[in-house]
This record gives sequence, C-alpha cells and structure tokens, in this order.
Amino acid sequence: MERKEHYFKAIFEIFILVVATISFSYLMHESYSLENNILIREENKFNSISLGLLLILKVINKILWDEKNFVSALEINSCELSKTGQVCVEYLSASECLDKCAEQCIPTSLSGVSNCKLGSCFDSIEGTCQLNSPKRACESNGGTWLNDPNGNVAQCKKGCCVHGNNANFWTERQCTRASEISGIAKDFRADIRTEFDCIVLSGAQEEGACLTGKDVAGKNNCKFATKALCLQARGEFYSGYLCSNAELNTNCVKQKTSSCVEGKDEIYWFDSCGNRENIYSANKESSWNDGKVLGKDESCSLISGNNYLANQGTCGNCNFLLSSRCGNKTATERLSDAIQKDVCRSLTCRDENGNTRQNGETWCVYQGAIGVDGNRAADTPGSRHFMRSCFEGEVRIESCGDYRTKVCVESKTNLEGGGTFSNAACVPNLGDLCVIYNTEDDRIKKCNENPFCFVKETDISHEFSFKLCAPKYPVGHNLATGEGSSACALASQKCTAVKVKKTSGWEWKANEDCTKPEFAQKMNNLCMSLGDCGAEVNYVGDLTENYKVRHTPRLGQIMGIIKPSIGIFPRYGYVPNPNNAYLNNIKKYSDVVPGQVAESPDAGEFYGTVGIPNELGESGVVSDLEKAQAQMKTFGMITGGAGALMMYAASQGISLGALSVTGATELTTATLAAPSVSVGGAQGVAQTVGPQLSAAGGVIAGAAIGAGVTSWLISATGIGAGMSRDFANALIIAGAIGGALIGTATSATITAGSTVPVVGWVIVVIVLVVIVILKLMGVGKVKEIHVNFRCLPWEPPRGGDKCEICGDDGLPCSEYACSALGQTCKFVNEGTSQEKCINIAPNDISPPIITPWQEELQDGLVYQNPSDLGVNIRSSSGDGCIAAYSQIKFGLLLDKYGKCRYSTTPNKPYEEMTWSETEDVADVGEDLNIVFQKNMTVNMRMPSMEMLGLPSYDPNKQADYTMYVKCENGNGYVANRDYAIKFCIKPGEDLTAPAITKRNPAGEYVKAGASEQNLSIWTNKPSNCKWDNANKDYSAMLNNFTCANGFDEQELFGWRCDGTIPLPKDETTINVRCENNPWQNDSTKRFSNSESTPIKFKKTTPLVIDSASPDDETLVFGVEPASVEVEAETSGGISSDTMCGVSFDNGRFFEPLEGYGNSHSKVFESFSSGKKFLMLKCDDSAGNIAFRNISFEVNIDRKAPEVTRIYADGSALTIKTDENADCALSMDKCDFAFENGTLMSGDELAHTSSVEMNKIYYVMCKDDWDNSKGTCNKKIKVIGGITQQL
Amino acid sequence: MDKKGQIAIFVIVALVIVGVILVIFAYPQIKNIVAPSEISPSQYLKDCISPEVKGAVDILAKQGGDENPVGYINYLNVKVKYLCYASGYYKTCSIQQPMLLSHFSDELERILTPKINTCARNLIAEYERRGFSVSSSAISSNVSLGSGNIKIEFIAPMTITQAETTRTFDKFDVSIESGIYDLLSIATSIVDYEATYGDSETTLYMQYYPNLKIEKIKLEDGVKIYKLTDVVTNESFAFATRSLVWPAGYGL
Repeated sequence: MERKEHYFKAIFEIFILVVATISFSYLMHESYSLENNILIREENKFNSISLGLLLILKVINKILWDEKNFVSALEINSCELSKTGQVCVEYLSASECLDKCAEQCIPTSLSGVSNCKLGSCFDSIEGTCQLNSPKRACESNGGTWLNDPNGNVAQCKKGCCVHGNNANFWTERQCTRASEISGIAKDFRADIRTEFDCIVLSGAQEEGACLTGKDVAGKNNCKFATKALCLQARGEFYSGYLCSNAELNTNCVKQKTSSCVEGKDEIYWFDSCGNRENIYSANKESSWNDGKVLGKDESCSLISGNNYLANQGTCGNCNFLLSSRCGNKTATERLSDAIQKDVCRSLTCRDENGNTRQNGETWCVYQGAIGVDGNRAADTPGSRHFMRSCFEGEVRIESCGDYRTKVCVESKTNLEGGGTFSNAACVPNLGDLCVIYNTEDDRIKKCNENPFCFVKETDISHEFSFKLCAPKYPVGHNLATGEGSSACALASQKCTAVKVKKTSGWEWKANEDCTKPEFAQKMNNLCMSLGDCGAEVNYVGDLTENYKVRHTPRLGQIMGIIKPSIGIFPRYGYVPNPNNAYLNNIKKYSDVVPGQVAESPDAGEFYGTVGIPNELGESGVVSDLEKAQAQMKTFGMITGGAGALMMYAASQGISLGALSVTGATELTTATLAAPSVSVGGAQGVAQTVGPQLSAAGGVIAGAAIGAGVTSWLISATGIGAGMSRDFANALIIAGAIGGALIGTATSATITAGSTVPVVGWVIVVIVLVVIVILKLMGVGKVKEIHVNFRCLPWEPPRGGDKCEICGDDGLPCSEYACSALGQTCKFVNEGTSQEKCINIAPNDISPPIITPWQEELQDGLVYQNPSDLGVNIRSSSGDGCIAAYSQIKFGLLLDKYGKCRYSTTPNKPYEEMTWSETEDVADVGEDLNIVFQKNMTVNMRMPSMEMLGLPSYDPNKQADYTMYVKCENGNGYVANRDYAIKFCIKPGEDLTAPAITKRNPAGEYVKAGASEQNLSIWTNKPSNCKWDNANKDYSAMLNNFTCANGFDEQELFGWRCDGTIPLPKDETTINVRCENNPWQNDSTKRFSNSESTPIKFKKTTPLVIDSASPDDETLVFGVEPASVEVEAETSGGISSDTMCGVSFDNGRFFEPLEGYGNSHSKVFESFSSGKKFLMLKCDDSAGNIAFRNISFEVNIDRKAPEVTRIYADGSALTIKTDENADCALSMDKCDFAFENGTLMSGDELAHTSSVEMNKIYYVMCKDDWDNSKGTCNKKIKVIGGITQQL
Repeated sequence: MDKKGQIAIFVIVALVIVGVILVIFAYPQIKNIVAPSEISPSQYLKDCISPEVKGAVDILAKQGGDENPVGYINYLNVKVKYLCYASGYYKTCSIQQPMLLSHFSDELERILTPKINTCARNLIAEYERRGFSVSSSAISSNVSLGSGNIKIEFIAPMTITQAETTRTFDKFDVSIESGIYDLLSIATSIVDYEATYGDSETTLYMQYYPNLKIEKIKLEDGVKIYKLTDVVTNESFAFATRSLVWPAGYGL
C-alpha cells in the first residue's frame, strides 16, 4: 500500500514537473507571441496606408515616364498623320488613336515606326539641315532624309559663310545658295567651327576705299566698303584706306559727323560723303590715323581698370561683350563734344535689389523661400521660379514653368576685376521622381544622387522614425482639381502609443512622443515636403492648415501640462496653450530669402535628366508592378515606423512598450530558472524512481509549481505589465517558496500539524491576495492610443479678396499663382496681354445646392424621393434594403463649386462634421471631397448591423442609416440645414469562399539561385490563407500565410496575405486555399475554397551579357558630336523581359537601350572626341542582373586630304592622296567651287583624269567628311606626259 | 501795293499750284506729258509687287509659314502652326515642318503668283499706253528668300519697240528688303532645341543677334508661341511648339 502510495507520489511529481515545464514554455510563448502580434500589426498598418499609394504612384510613374516601354501593356499606338495635321503622334490607347488618327494606327511607339524615325532633313535647294526630323515629314516636303538625327553628316556640316558685310554660320550649300541669290562671290570658311567665331569674323573683313569713277570736278567718287562688294561694283579697291585719305583725291572731307552703325557696337566718324571712318575718339587726329583704317584694338580705350565706361565722354570704342553699345545720348550719358548725338551707352541693368547686372547676365528670382530648410521643403503653393536676364540695359523675365515644373538654378563666376557674373537656367524639375524612388531597393542612394531630392527624416520616437525620399522643390499641384492628393497621403500615418497602469499610476511604454505636440509638427514637415500639402502659406503669406490630427494637439496649439484634464484633449491631459511659433516659421516661407538660389546640378546628372525624359523607367509594366509590390514590403519594413521599431527591437532586444512585451521581459527572468528547475526535477525523478521520492524532489516540484502558478496568474490577470521587474521577481520567488514548502511537506510525509506546510500555504495565500489587490487596482491595464495624422492637399484661402494682387510683385501672374490666392480666384485671358486674376464670386453668400447625380449611381441602386432636403438610396431589388458591408457608389451634383462634409448625426455644425480629434469613432463625420468641386462621387461600404446597434444574425432585421451632408461655397458660406441621404440596411451573409485577385510575383520565374521566394496574394474579402505542396483541404494544409484582415486594411487589389516559399528544386509548385470570415469563431460560418490555386515557381538561369560593342576600338567621324550605336547581346534570365541600360557616369544613371529579349541597342548622338568608358547593365523582372564595362575612342577627322603624289602617263593624270577622298580639276582658278570642277575618277587614294597638254590645272580634294583646304591643293601643268607643279 | 493785295496774290498763286498738282495726280498721262520719263521695269514691278509681298509675308509669318495651316493652335484668333509637336507628356516633340525655308518660299510664291502675273501684264500695258509696241510670251515667276531680301524673278520675256528703239528682256529681278530669311533660320534652330531638349534658351540668340527680339509666350497645356522680331525692319515670325510638357502636380 505504502509502495503504491510512493508510486503515486512519484508519478504525481513527474506530472507536476512536466506540467510546470510546459507551462513555463507556454507562458514564454504567449509573451513573445503578443510581442510579435503588436509588431506585425504596426507594420501592416503602415503598409496599408502608404504602400498602396506608392503602388499607384508607381503605376502613374510608368504611364508618365515610361510610355515607350509601356507599349505592350497599355497599347500605345502611333499615328503618322493625325486628323489635325500633326505628323508622327503617339497616343496612349488604341481607341484614342482610332479617334484622332487620319491614317492607320500602328500598335507601337514612334520609335518603332520607320516613317517616324528621326534623322536630318537636308534641303538640297536651300541647303538647310533640320535635325531630329521624322522621315515622313522630311520626304513629303521634298527633302533628303539622312539617317542621323544629330546632323552628323557631311551635308549638314556648318562653316562660316561670308557674304557682303555679313557672316553666317551655314552649311556650304546654304552659302552657295546665298551667293546665287545675291550675286556676291561665295566665301565659305569650313575651318570656322562655331557660330560665335563666325559672328566675330563678320566684323573682321578686309575693308577699304572703293573708287567708282569721277565727279564733274574730276574728283574720285568713293565708297568705303569690303573688298568683295567693291569688286562686285567693279570699283577700284584701296585696302585699309579711308575715303578721306588725301592720296585718293576724293571729294570726301574727313570726320564731319559721328554716329552708330547698324550691326556694330562702336561710334564711328563719317566723312562728308557719308562714308564710315574709324572709331570715334575726341582725339580726332589719332582717330583719323592719317586716312588709314584703324583697328578696334588700336583705337581709343573706353575702359580704365574695372570701369568699363571710364572714357565714355571721349571715346566711342564701345564693346557689347563688356556691356556697352552705341546709342543715343541721354542726360547722364553723353560725349564731351556736345554736337555729337551718340555715345557708348551702358548696357548694364539694375536688378530688383538695385544691384548692377552686366549685359547678358541671367539670375534667378523666386517668390519666397525655396529648397530645403532644415528638414523640410520650403517652396510655397502658388510660387514659381523665374529667370531674369539683363539684355541691353533692359531686364527681362521668364517664368520657369507654371506649377514649378522647372527649377531656376544659378551659378556665379568671379570676375577677374572683382564682382561676379551670374548664369541662370530653368531646368526640368525632377522632383516627382523622388517619391517614386521610395519603391526602389536603393531608394536612399537614388535619392541622394538626384539633385532635386533629399532624404526626409521623420524622427518622432525611437519606435516611430523613418526616412522617405522627398522633392527639394516640390512640383505644384493643380489646386482646382485636387491633383496630388495621393502624393500628400504618403504623409498620412498612424502611430500607436502605449501606456500601462503601474502601481504608481499610468506610465508610457511606447511612442509617447507621438502624443506630443511635436508629432503634428514633424508630420507636417513631411506633409509639406511632398508638394502643396498640409499647413502651408501661399506665396503671399496666407496660411491654411490642411491636415487632420487625432489625439495630438494641432499645430497652432502647443500644449503644456498646466491644468490637466481641461481643454479639448481632456482624456490625455493636454491643455491648449496657443503658441504659434511653428506656424510663424512656416509663414516666413513666403518671404524671399536674400541670396538664396537653387544649386546647378552637375553635368553628369544633367545629361541623364534633360533631353531623355521619357526613358527613365524600367522594364515592362506588369513586371514592374510586381516588383513595386514586392519592394513595398521591404519598404514598409525598413523605412516605416513599424519597420524601424522591429529593427530596433531586434538589435537591442529591449521592451517595445506593450503589456505583452513587458511581460515577456519579466517572464524571461522566470524562464531562465525553468530549465534548472526542470533538470532538478528530472534528477529527483531519477533518484526516486526506485522505492520512493526524495524530499528534495518534493521541494523542487513544489517550487516549480509555485513559481509557475504565480507567473501564470501574473500573466493571466495582466498585472505583469504594471509591475516592476523586481516586484514581479519577488512575487514569483514568493510563490516558489510557498510551493516548495508545501512540496517539502508533501514529499517528506510531514504530519498535518507541522508548521512547514502552514507557512507555505500562508505565503501562497499572501501572493494570491497581492495579485488580487493589484488586479483590483487595475495594475497592468494597457491603453493603446492611435495617433493619426492625415496629410491633405493644400487649399487656397476662402474667398477671393486677394485675387487681384497676382502680379503685383512684378512677376507675371499665372493660373497656378492665381488659384493659390483664393478659392474664387480665376485666371482669365491666358496668353493675351490682358491676363488677369479675378474674383469670380465676390458676393456669393448662397451655399451650393445638392442634387443626386444619376450617372454615377451604381447599377442595382435607385434614387427615391429626391428633394431639397435629401434623397433615399435603395436597392432596386427586394425590399430595397442594401446588404451590410456591401460596397456602393453614388454621386452628388452641386450647382456651384463647393466642398462637402457628412455626419451621421443630424444638425451638426459644419465645423464639427469632421474627424474627431479625440475619439476613434467613425460616425462623427468626414469630408466627402477634399477640394472644391461641382460634382463628387462617393464610394462607401455599408456599415454592419452591429455598428447600428442591431444583431446581424437576425436576417429579418432592418436598420435605417442616414448621412447628413452640408456643403460650403468658395467664400465659406454653409447651408444651415442638412441634406439627408437615407439608406435601409439589412444583414449581409457571406457564404462564398474568397477569390484570389492578385499575386506577386505574377510570373513563375524567379531569380537564378534563389532558395526562397516571397509571395503575396490578395483576396477579394478578409480571409485566412494557407499553402501546401500537396493539393489538400484547407484545414489540412500545413503552411499559413500572414494575412491583413482588418476591415480598413483593404489595399488596391483587396486584402493581402504574405508568405515565404522555400524553393528546394529548380521548379516548385504550391497549392493555395483561403477561407472567409476569419472573425467567426464558429468554423461552420467560415467557407474555404474547394479547389486549390496552384502557383508555380521556376528558377531562371543567370543573366549574362555575352557581347557588347563598340568595345576596345577606335571610331572615326567627321563631325562633332558623333553618333555611336551601343549594342549588347544577352542570354539567360527571362529573355523576353530583359532590358539593358548604359551608364556614362559609372553607374549613377542608366539610359535604357532599345529592345527586349536578347538584342539591345541604341544610337547615342552626343559623343565628343576622346576615350569613352561605358557601363552596361541588364536586368529582368525576376531580379537577375548583369554588368559589363566597355570602352572605345572617338576620333574626329578635321584634316583635309593631302596630295602625296602626282604623275602623268600621256594625257592620263593620276593623283594620290593620303586618305580616301574625291578630287576635282579646274582650269579656272585655285579657289574654284568643288562642284564646278571636273570630278576625277576614284574615291579612294588614287584619282585619275585625262588632261590636255600644256594647260594649267588646279586640283582640289576633299575627304568623306567634306574636309578640304578651301582652295586648291595643287596647281599643275602636264608637259609631254610629265607633270609640273607650279 | 497794300498788304491785302499781296496776300491775295499769294493765295491765288498757292491755289494754282495746288490745282496743278491735283490735276497731275488725277490724270497721270498729263504727268507724262509734263515730265515724260523712262519706265524702269524693275522699279515698276517692285512698286507693284512690294505691298503684296509685305502682306503675304505678314500672313505667313504670323501663322508659322502656312497660309492655311494644319496642325495649329488658335492664339488670339490666329492659327499658329506647330513646327514641333508632341501630343503627350514627358516627350520631346517631333518636327512638323522640316524644310521651313523652302516651304515658306513655296507658300510665298503660290500666294504671289497671281499678283506677279498682274504686275507683269500691267507693265506691258503701261508700255503700250506710252506708245511702245510690246511683244511678250508666257509669264512665270520664281520667288527665293535670301539673307536680307526676298528675290522675285519675273520671267516675262518681252520685246519693247518704239520708233527705232527695241529692247528685249528675258526676266526682271526684283529684290525686296526683308529679314524673314534670318528669322526663319533662327526659328529652325529653336525648333531643333525644342525637339532635342524640349525647350530653348532664347537669351543667347538675342545676345548673338542684337537686332533680334524673341518672345516666348507660354500657353496652357505646355503650348509655347515663339515670336521672333527683327527690331530694325519690324518684321516678325511666329510659330508654336509643344514639347516636353510636364503636367501639374503628379498627375494624380
């Protein structure tokens, strides 16, 4: 019997030990599970809010930035001739093309249409060359289309054509044509390569006196002219002579008057015959120069030191490049000789600050602060960048694009003599790429590389901090249409702050800073950095606050803990203590910051951003969507507040602030003891499994039970979170001691009257009492405060009082600037000289009238009983009630622009029909539209019956649900009564299994060598999903997806589930099933798929660039810049999806090559001479990537061919050249026109022609690039079969 | 003679002079009798065609080089032709009129041809009215643009005979001063920039060519009107482009 009893005790102790160990493990598990739950929930919240938006942005980005690559997905069509007469036009859809194209639509982008290929169009008559011409446009006009859009062909090569007094930078044919028309001999200088040099040449022609007969008195008639004009007039030319030179015996008297000369900068003397003489100087003799031409450099000097007009009174040697030019004298600018009417006038300007600007100087003007101020973008709504220029004494202004689509950048050059010279330019604002970068893996790198982006850090608490790429100069939004609202919404974030009740009172555990005033400020900094969003001032300093914040003070109400429990946030003890310092700092942005300019981006980046704007995208849109979605997960984890929280927790191993986390930490202490307890227990068992258990075994088992039960009670009652670690340890130890004493008594069969078990029981009771008291005190209670910030599009101020000040700052008004001044401001007469910003509703005090919008009503619904007071919306079937949870759509029309809000409570003031700043309830009210509109579409989900206070399980129940709507007009006048939209709601029951609406990745191919693949699926309703390698019932499947099932966690494609799939083989197929109604505890009310959705993964082979060209070779061209075709051949990866790009700046920016598949190429047209190093990068949608470097050298042939040998064989003349060339003979003169000569046969090194004996021939050769000496190479005579060079 | 008499004489003399002038202008043939002069056929044709040329150039120049443009923007009730056009966003434009100079001169010739014929016939009639015998053959013409002028060739072979004097002409060249060639050249260059970079920097042109004034008028939806003016001759040339258009905001 006793033996039996021992066995029983032994078995009981073993049981206790095992149970204790398991219970410890369970408690640990529970603790960590709770921690993880919180983390996952945070992460998903962030994703659901932001990442869907990023996805949309990514899609839009593809549409806008990657039209060319978007072809296959969105059916871009090209049209050679539109109905409105445009040549080579692209349309985004086939239907648009069919509607607008006069000819057949071609389902590809323009680059794929041979007739729209760009080249140079050469006009063989006029000699002009139009670059970038579509083939069809050129040929249909009778031009010669040359396959090089950059004019890198001989026909388009320009030089300086000197004709008469002018010199123009033309093609040779153009020069010939001008000569034919004017009759002036052609003078083409092929060696002059720039337009500037040519213009300079026009002032440096040989000039002199031209005698054209005698007058009645026998004096010579004289005209001062160029040699060419003189000879054309058959005059007698005296180079370098003035007509007043006594040697010429003319009737012209020197220096009778002075005046300006058209096309020249300087003041000149004129003789009595009206001939121009030398540059004016008060020192007449030195100016006359003994009747000889005096060069500009030898003439008087206008300059002295840094003063460009030092000798303005005595010298007429004006210099356009140094800001002076001949003009009429003024009160302050005149020659000392009062008779003379002209003077070297200053071409400098006074800028808006009264500073002197040199002629030709350009500088930026802004309408307020620009760029990044500290950690936020400062450009204000309505403001633009402008470029001013000084042009011949006049300040001109140019807008850098409405909506800040261009940024004015400026650089300054220090002048040798002191001072600076500003150069400004309006460059495309690539700021909208910044937001898109946030979907990329290397977003921070890209962000730092783009000069128009900055990394916006939002650091609110340890657990809620993240980085986003934001634009430095945010592109303005269309304030009338609400464009940009999605961009603003990126800054809409929710932070969950957690506090726990301690014995000493409530204490913050996580994200306390999210509840502080700085939360709204820091979130608004992000909000306003994304564009015209949030609380901002317009460019004239009017502030509007366009954000909503819950559980945190608004921006103008910095709170202090002065009188707790008073004020608008009584629940959290805030008191309004208005302090507008933050808002005042924002208001300052409407003031111009002296000296502030946007920095000029460096040339490398500029190369990539200008001129090739439509090729910045990546591969096909479908794969990119998937990629974006895949990246979103990463994005959320790394940059999101939750992601930061997770990483921080992982690295630090510290408490994250929730009850469960605290519990976990403290339970860890207890857990640490568990193994030893278990081991001890095991040892005890080993020792006692024989005849009987030892007393030590009872002690250990009792201690384990006591500690375990105490721990469990602490956890189960939830008080652990409110206890200090030491206190919790003490309680557990007390429980263990109590258990040990009882266990000792039990195992050692101590008599019932012994004090040992009594003490044990007393201790246990005390522990229990303490736990109960703490529970009753509420210790360990947790409060989660969801602090929300909603970033809304910026709104102009109500009314239109300030419309007419648009342009008063001296900068032209625009649609954007006007619309920022007031809700009722409208820009009229655009494009005319009468552009104005007017107030279109100055006296409008009547609020908008609401009517139902029939066209927007969802099928299956009807409007009933519409009146001024409201309308009923009913289902067209059954009893007219609409099922709970169902998504419906309807529309409202307004008779004027208005903004509306709704509430579920009648007769609420308009101001209160909005987000509750203190409550997490949905029925307080909300905006129906966020910008002023005349119509609005409402998409909403019917509330549940539970929300309306009725049981949803009763199918016969019905409930009325009413939305009370009020609208305001542009002047802020609101209707004084509600417009009621009434619904009848009935319970909805979902009996159908979920459907998978989307998966990512969509394709089956995965990266070469991948060991696992992240998979996301979206379902059409909240669901739980599982997967398995075998095709099983849902309940039998082994692997769970992590699913976001919150009602508000719906994303673009539904509710998302994530999982990681191991890929042990080259091909893996999994089966997926999902089950609806995850909130139903009753499994009979959950419905799962009866069939699995198979998803296959197939590993690809590595992507390799097999060949690339040109590589390690020298390319020769005749004209700079040269056009080079870069080609690459690839293998492996997803061949149909591979795209390649080439980088000219060592991988910072890649410009895409054309073509999917294995062959990729593109002609680049801007190569200068020299060694080139290029980096090729190819990738596919599976994530395979390959690089290759290539290099080559570009040589420009500017050298004319040399004649190396001349010999004759009888009458056959042979000429040899040192390079391939064409040669021509002429018997006329050395500088004959090549096309007028006799072309010799042979276009390589040898050239032959028959010649006559004893005649002089001039030989002229030119190479493939039309390089020639300009005159003949040789002058020869063939005598008796022997050539003689003359 | 008293003052009144002197004044009366002066008034009568003045009236006679004015009357003679009026009669001469009212009856040109009298002018020939009073001051018979040799006709300068080139000058005659130039006087005849010049106003027409100016009018035609004005029409073409303000419409981008076409009398009846297709592919245009209506700006202040004028159809301004797109010389470079892109329909969507973020795309540089495609050249719409590659050979602008040739096209302009072709258009000009087409407009002027009827008037050229009329002027040539009027010249013949004028000679005949002055008593010359004129034999002529078919009239044709050729209009070409040059730097600083428009050259019109009246190919109107004619033989003019009076008494024993016979003069034979094959054609008459008329040169009319115009800066349109240079404006078109600048326009071509601007269009190059628009097609390549999506915009042009006009300041530099004006720095290089001080007589040139360039106005760039930005209209809605990215349309730009360029107006190039020769400040000396006051001629101008306008055209439209739409290139590298950026929508407001993010297009969302």
